[in-house]
Amino acid sequence: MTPLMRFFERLLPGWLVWPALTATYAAMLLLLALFDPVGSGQIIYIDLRQ
Amino acid sequence: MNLQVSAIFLLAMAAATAIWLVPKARALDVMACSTLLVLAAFSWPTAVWLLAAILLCWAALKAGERGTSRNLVAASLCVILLTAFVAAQFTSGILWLGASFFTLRLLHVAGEWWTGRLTAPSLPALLRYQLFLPVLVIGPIHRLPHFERQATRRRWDNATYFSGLERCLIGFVMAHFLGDVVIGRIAVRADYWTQGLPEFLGTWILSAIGWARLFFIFAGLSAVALGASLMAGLRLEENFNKPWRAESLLDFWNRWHMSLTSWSRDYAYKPVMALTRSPLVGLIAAMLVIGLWHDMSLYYVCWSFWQALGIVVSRQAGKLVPVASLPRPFAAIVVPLGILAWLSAARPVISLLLGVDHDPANALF
Repeated sequence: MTPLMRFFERLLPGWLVWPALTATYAAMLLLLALFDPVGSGQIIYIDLRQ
Repeated sequence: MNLQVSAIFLLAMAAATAIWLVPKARALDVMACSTLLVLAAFSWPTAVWLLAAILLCWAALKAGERGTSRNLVAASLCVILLTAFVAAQFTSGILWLGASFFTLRLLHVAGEWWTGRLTAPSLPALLRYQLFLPVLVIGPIHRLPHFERQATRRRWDNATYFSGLERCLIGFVMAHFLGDVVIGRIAVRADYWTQGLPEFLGTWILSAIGWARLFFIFAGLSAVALGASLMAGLRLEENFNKPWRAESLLDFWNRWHMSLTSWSRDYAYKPVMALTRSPLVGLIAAMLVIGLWHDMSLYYVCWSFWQALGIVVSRQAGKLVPVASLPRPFAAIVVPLGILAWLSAARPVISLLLGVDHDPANALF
């Protein structure tokens, strides 16, 4: 059982856990796919000296 | 997010999955080979350096075990590793991947061996420890004994694997969306809003936003690194522990980039403290390690002294007005804001002292 699943189990009735988990994963993947990066590589420049 | 960072983390997740297909005894050897290939593809000078440093460390420790003076071996090894690291810092035009992390890991091995807490590791053990792809770019600076214990205990478990995968996803969202997109855009707007303010105040506000952005990106990418390690079956040391709950500046540094803080405590604070019997000198040494780890510059020397001063001030303030004596909601808001104010004041204060506005790209704090 993953931490998010445990979190939803505490909050929601049993039948809603899997739909909530799926929706959360889908929302996270969508956010990653939709937004253009600004350049976080710059902020960890110390390990990516270019 | 920088494409190279994303690509390396995705490859780490793929490697963490693929190693379950090979026999357990060879899994981390396969991971080490994959790491070397990825390193060579992204930055062959780093691959050569890392391999040479591992071979040197192994040969030196073996020589030390066979009778060569331990002090001489440990001191020479530290000087060579640090010289190579400093030389890399001043070499432009080459992409150095995770240079500081693997240098600090090797210094940890040399330090533990010198004190007798660790026997000289075998070459395969050292290769497996250093060439672990998930922690290549962003750490944590994990310790060899813990890594070996985890490697011995690793076994397939659905919950562990999927918890790691989930942590990677959450980490990517933290770094890419919250840090990069949300706070990145706030920073761009704040840059515009603060143009009418006095320069000192404007820099202070921008630096505070920079700290928030750094938290989401660094803690997010650390979560991806630890998640990918978990997918490979290894639970490595945490790097962040709710820094916003810190009750003092010292507490903050024990919650922020914890693997670096514990490294500097073990290999800078404790030895210097033992030599000088002065906690203050030990503290300055530890903060200098943390500061110079970020960048070898006068700015970060001043930054280290500023942070050491902050720890002393917050300790004295804590004695006068203990956090526990403050009303809980008040303390929960004011104490973290006070800590953020001190941390972010470093940039305007040091810029004022040095008489130059430090390049924001090189002074995130």
